[in-house]
Amino acid sequence: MKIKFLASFKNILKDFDRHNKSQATDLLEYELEEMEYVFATLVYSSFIGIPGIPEFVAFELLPCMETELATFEQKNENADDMLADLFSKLSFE
Amino acid sequence: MKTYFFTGKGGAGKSTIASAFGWQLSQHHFKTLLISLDPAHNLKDIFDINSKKSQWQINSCLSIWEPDFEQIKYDYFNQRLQLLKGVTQHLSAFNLEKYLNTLKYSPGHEDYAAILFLTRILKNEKQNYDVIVFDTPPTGMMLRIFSLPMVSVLWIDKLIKLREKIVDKRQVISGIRAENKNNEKRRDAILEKLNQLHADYSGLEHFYKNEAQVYVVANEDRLALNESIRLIKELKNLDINLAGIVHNKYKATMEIEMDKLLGCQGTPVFKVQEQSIEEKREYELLVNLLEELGIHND
Amino acid sequence: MTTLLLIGGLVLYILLYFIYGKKLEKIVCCTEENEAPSRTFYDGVDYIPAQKPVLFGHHFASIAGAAPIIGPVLAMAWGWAPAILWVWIGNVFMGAVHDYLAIMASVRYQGKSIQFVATDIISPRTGYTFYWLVFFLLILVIGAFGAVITGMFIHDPSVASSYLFIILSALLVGVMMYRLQWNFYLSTLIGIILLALSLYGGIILPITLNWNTWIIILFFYIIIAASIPVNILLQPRDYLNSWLLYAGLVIGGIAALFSFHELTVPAFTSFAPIISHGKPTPFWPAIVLIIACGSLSGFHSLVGSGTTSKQIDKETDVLPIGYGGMLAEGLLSTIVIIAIAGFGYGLLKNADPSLSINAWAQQYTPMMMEHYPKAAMFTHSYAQMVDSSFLRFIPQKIITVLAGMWVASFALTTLDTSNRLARYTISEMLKPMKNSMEGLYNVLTHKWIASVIPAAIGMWLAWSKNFTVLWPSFSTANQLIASIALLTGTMWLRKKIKAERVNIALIPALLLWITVTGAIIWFGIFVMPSTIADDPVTGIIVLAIEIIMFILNIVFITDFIKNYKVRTYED
Repeated sequence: MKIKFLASFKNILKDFDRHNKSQATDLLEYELEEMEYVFATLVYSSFIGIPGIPEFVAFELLPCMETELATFEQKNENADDMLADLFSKLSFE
Repeated sequence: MKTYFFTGKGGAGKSTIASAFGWQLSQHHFKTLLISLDPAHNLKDIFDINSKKSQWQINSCLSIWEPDFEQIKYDYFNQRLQLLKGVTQHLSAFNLEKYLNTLKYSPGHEDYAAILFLTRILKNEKQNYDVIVFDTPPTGMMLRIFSLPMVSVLWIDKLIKLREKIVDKRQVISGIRAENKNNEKRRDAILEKLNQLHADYSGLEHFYKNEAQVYVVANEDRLALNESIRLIKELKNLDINLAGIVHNKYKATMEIEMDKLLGCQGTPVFKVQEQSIEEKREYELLVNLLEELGIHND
Repeated sequence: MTTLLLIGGLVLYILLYFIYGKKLEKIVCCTEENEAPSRTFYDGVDYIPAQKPVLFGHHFASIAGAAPIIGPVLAMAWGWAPAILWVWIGNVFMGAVHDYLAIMASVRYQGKSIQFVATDIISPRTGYTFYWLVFFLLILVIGAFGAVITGMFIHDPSVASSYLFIILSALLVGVMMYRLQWNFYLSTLIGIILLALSLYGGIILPITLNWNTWIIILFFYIIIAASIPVNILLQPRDYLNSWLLYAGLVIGGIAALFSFHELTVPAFTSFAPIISHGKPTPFWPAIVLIIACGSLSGFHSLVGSGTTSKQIDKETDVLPIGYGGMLAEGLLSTIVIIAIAGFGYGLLKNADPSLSINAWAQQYTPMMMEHYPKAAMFTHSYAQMVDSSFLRFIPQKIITVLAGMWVASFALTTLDTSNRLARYTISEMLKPMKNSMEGLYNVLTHKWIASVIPAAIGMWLAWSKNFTVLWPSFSTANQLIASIALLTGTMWLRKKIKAERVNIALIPALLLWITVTGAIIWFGIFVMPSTIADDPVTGIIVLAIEIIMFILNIVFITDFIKNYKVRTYED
């Protein structure tokens, strides 16, 4: 009984710790997402009709960017649906 | 190991001069490689070679190489395609595969194929030869070949700056959250790639500016002159040193100061008279180019 | 008395959470078996399953702010009983249901927002309406909160200077944590110490400026804060805010539980006491405009269907996070009501002995606005409540400033975030004019123009000192959003779940719509004329906004009714 209480107390502390760490980095995460999106857009620019980096640089970079491209695609999927996301990510209250 | 580029308007006599130069070098026992960067290869015609091979040994000291740019391009895009197949498996929206397939077979992109080839040569053949001589494509394509590294470096610099910011921010976040440590290492792959590309292109840029001996082959007729003026101006903009002007098909009748005409006063001019081709083969020009260009046996 | 009220609230919420909440779950066929979007669309960035307690913390922190505190201050004019009944009953049957359905519908819609669901299931026009309502919400909240903050800075200059010290602390913590990358716990500890020092610094170095000066300072603050990189000020400030929240909640909770004080504010005063612009304000329909967050709040649907729904681990987590989170905010408002109910009378009586309990309905609002305007009413009541518990060893002045810091910091966050959101909202709102009036579109959506206009209009409204008009207007926009969200949730139940079990959402949705519509009409007829007479510019701006919102209100209920009758192929 005592052990169970201690374990759940430890869990509460762990959750509190994780919560704090996310409160301390949420906006940074959001800015990071935006920067990654800009980067992916720059690399992709030549393929989607935006004047940008030389195609050949893009060819060289793309194989290294598997995850980034998946995220990029997901963001484009939701690009028309940003209002709620913004309310959550930027602390309105 | 020295490298020479003979540039100029089509028809000015670049291929002839380059070939003659290469020939004379080989006669003086300089181990020479003569390369055509012009997709409309002329060298084999000049040396009277009837063969489908791209590389040919003329004599013990002279080899010529007319690379198959189509194949180089095809191989490059194919290789990229293979690498990207793993990436684009779950990507639906961008049809990269189709795009690359199209690129494989479409015309164009020869300037990039030429750069790929040039980079390969500089990396692999430097130790095998004393001199490498380049016959170049027409002005437009050659200028793109000269400028592409610089332009790419500018973009890569921007990308590196952004990427470094991203990596920094990511590192701050994961430093606090103490999670996703693998992610952090993997991200650097992009930055590493960017730095590698930067080094490659900067290396090429450095080569153009410091090692390559670039000559413009010019004629007296008005159209050729205008194009040569533009070419020389562009070279100046690119900060590429003009080693000299070869005043080809020189007519002794008029005193023309080619360097003044072309707007680069003080640049050494080497006169090559119009020669009858029936007597000699193009590459066996009478003028001693080596002496003219100040090359001694060393 | 105070303690009993808190215990009552707790018991009620817990009971109804299990009784009513579970019923909700059954109706939406909530099951662990369904794979949540966080797994189906996992991308490690937005779609990433989060553990229940962490996600709860994040969701709660996103919906908790200054609003659940301000509303109850005004509502006290009716007496504490109507206010607390609304916070209890309205929350359980409307507000928490609203939050729950918004998240649940979003979860079943691959994590897309409630706006997307509305577009899909009612009409594109309805989805587009969100932009307009949000735009007005943002302008009005800048006005309302701007007035709250300014009022607080003037009434308690210590709060003003302590907030300045908080900004400095945030800058320092930002450098420590993000630039120098010191140990997280060390930086946190230093941050907390800096907060305490800010508190102390505020007390010994109060800054006294006048209304106009503060408004101008806030205006520039909004514009600048939203433009600099987040790691410099906003991120560390947000982090320090969460510690202020913990302190405020814990101290408040303990104090409310252990104060055992009698409730000196009358339980019920009048159906229509003086609240808005000196006019009698009927409990129905105006209560929804006075207490929003804490009972029912529209922007919660956006927060919930934003990142919360994308990070839900399994469907059964939506109840504790969405429904439970809203109830928790209700608890916060409960504590606010308890504090004022217990100690508000004493505060006002000391300030103005002519206060009489029988005349509370007429006297409360004017006296409150004069002696303890808006947030000050809460902070001072709160401090007295703490003083009446075993925590009385903490000097009252410290608690007052602490509570002031809490409210000010959250309200200021709302201000600068509103500006950032407004920029985005404007560009989306004006998209239909992009092709037809390209020049004008480019001007209006230009970075600086889109930044300055909402801040300027908002701060102008705040300047006007018409808080009792601004607050209901802000709530109108908020509750209209809640109305659409609840109607969307209802439509979702009807079209995607089962047609018969819709009443759990349909009834509150219709009740809400009728109430808000009634409130707008009442507001337009009874409050607007005197406002315009008193201050034409403010009056006209608010009236224009109210009229547009009213029209949108009619449009979306029409779309709803039209669509509701349409049989889907599943029926």
